[in-house]
Amino acid sequence: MAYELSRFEKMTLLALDELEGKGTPEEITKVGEFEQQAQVMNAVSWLNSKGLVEVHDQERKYFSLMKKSAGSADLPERTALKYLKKVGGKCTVEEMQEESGLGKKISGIALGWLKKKKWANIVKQGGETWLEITNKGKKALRGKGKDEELIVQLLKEGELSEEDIDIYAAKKLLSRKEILKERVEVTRTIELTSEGYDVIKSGIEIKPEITQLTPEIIRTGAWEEAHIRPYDVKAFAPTYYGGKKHPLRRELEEIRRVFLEMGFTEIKYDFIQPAFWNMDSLFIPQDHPARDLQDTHYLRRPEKTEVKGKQVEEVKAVHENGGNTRSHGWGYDWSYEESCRNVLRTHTTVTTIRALSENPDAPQKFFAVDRNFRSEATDATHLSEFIQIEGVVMEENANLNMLIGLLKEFYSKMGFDDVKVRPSYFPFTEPSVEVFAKYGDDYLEMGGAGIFREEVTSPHGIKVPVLAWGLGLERLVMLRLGIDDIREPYKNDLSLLKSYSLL
Amino acid sequence: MPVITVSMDELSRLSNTEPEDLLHLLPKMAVEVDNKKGDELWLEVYPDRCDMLSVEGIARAIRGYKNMETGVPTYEVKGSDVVTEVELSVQEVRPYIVTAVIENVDLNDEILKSLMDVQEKIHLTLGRGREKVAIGVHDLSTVKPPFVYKAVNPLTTSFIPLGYVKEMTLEDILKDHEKGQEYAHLLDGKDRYPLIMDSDENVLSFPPIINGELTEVNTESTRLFVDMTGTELKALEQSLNILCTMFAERGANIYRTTVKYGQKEREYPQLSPLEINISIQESKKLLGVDLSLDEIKSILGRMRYDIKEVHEDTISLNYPAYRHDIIHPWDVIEDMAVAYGYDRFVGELPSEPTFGKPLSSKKTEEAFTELMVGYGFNEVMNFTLSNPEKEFHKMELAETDDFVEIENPVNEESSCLRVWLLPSLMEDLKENRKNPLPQKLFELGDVVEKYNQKTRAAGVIFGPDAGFSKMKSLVDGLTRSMGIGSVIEVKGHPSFIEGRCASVIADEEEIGFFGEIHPKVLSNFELEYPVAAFELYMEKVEKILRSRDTR
Repeated sequence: MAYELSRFEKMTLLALDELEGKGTPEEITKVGEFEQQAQVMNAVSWLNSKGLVEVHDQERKYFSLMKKSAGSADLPERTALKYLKKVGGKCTVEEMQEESGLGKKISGIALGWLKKKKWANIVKQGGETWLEITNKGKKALRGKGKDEELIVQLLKEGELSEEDIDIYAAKKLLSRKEILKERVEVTRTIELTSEGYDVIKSGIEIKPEITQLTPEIIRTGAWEEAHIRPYDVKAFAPTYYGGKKHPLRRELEEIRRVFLEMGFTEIKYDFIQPAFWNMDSLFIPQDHPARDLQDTHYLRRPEKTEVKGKQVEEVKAVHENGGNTRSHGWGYDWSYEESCRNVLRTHTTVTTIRALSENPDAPQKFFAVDRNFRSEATDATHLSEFIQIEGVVMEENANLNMLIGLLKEFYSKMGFDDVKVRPSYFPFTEPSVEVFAKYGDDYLEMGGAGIFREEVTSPHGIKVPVLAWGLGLERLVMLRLGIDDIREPYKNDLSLLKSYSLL
Repeated sequence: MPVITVSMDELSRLSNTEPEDLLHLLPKMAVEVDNKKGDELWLEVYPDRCDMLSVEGIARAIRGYKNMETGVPTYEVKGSDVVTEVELSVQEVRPYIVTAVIENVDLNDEILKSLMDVQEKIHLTLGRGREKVAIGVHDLSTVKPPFVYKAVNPLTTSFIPLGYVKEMTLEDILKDHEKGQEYAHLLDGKDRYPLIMDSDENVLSFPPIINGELTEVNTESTRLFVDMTGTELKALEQSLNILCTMFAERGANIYRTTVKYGQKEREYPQLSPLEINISIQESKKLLGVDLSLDEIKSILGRMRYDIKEVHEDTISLNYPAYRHDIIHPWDVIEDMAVAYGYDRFVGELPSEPTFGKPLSSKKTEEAFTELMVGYGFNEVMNFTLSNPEKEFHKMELAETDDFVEIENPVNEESSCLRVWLLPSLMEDLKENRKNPLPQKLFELGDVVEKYNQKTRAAGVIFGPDAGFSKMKSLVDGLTRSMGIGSVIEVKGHPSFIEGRCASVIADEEEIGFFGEIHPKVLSNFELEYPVAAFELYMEKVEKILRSRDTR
């Protein structure tokens, strides 16, 4: 067959065949057992484009009474005629107006039609206008005119098409106001073309249709004999998201992957640390503002941790006078009690110094990605609890040039190829570095780095330089997700958690 | 980090540098340009460089950096007969004082502002909020030396404090004066307060609180007396040097003064250079750059060091008395890196190989996460900071006294560390009420229970179909998929409906629990559909897995 026909097209052709080649969409719907007329109309437009059917549109007028009351009473001219007859075939216009019951306005209309239908003559006699019944008028008294019959017919039938009525009478009535109503209807007829007949003659087979596959259909192979109903693939369907890891987790895992690739070992220590590890062992003097209540969370419970070990004396000496290092120290009386106060750690550097203290022999590479706490109010750019990433390298040849090389390598693995460094300051590193990475058109502050001071490393028996760097996880995630409020990831709004893009 | 405001025009003039060049240059010298509005620059100076807390100090550093003048700046200190006697009575209150006289100062509004600015910033940094250093600057022509520094009875001593017209006792100043209220805590517990007076018993200053009205400095003042009192002599000397050299940079004359502690006399300011030695090899090694001796010399000169002597590997250096931050040779080496230029380091990679490994617990945690995502759960991450209301009361639990409690919480919301995960997840459901049901959330995170930090894993199902049996199926599948399997036993838990809560047991140990949340708890979190929940103790899961590995 030359034509590829859909199921509905085939059904339409067969229905037309049954209707002897011609039918309205309604008829085709009925005969062809369609669910909806729209299916027929759709099929017809395809069949038409293939030249298998022709579509004829025919206008037909339908008439009905504007008001039922218009049909139940006589037309005014007939009322006037009846009055004329009653008064002996002649009366004055004035008389007619007053006595016939038509009223002045309607009498005018009646007068016009009496004259038009030639049922009466109007003559002037002795200064008055007279009406005189004509022969045609007398004849009219014996039966209704065609227009009046139409009214009766419509009163009975409601609406009739132009084919079923006297169209001349209808037009006459239409010219009068408020009697008839006209409606135009386009009737569509679908007619088979000779090509259509040929297609039918060559045979049309319609398979049963399947909407939803069932085990039955699959098992029996019924689908082979059937037609699986195609869907409107563009119809709306709500977006469906699956379970996802948290965006912070994904970034965190990416960073862990980079560190592991670069040969770093992961470390973890507790949130609760004595000030000794959080500050003293990092050469942060005991009166440093970062140790104030405005910056650091101290604990009411558990209040302190007794710090022990040979580092305690060494750290004390380094603070007071530089100890065994070449440093002058800070020059104050270091308090053991103060160093035992528990804090919620304020940076991951605690974690790295603890790991180095336990593993003081080079080479070592450690990293940590973990939570830290600051005693500051949370807003769009600050969190009182945040995740920090920190890496350290301890080796004989460690130097500033290596630190900068490491930073470039690390950030490039994180997707930042353009990295700049500037001098900076941290109490526990010297030299200190601030890292900027190009993102879009700007260089963004991406973290800090440096070489641990001798005052930091020496008390732990570390004899070679230690390179260290750190950055905040949340800021990276903000960049990746394009959000500008650092609190957003911790709001755990499912609409974001479900919809964010992994790539 | 301290931020100072300077006039770009003035900095440009004092440093002989074009304004647009300043913006590129400053960051290379560790000064961050925080903001710029018209002629005003907001500059962040790191607290290790208090000598750069003034426009004069920054200009001095720039002139060196740009090789316009190198080496240690020399400042002449002339003699004077201004003496301050320290009485023993201050020993227990505020033991130290240093002083200086500055003359021939052309005090315009610009310089007065710079002076106020640097005082305030030194108070904050080196001064630790005026505790270690409190500065007073006085119009010397209004008073008559010698001065005396002593501790007096706060109830009976009075004078007119700056900004007032009426005499007040020291006691009243602490109570009623703005500065008194702000710094009263520095005199807590002292029964005598420090005071500086002249030979006619006129009060110059009530340190560390307020100066007297008498000695107020204005643009007409030409001779200034500077006092700095505090608890640490070194910090005082450094602060005095920073302030005096700042004036000297403006062409003022600095005069030596005497402080007498009984028979012992000290003279201030001491502006002669200080000494430090560095090793050439160590410098090159720490920087990772092969510098020639000439380069090293040039770099050090630009950072305002004088090379006294080079002997084999050792360079003996002089450095300016205002550099309070140099306590170790590496401090000098950092300066060398700054002068060399951080952007000139090409970078190299570590030379000694190491093999990284993840935390041993990560394998189990990653398996858990993979399983939960597979079950269609969305991961949440919540703060560890919590509060007893959420951890206990809203979960219908009795508050214990062994959770971590913060001494100085920022707010009531964050006054403790969480002891379990489910309250955080309940809070998340509350926040997600506007989103469609069902909702399935999980979290993997640390809690601190009985002061011990532990990793927990938890999940919740929220919606009309959430119930015990669904959760039972899930926990069963979950523990099997994690390679341990589990059995369950009835558990009573006030957060759950009685008879709809169970312990998860593996190797005869409870590794977690699950059940259907009690309607009271649901209402506490304003939830109107059932919630089924589980929480697992990850370190127990870990322990079982390890014991099976070795078996």
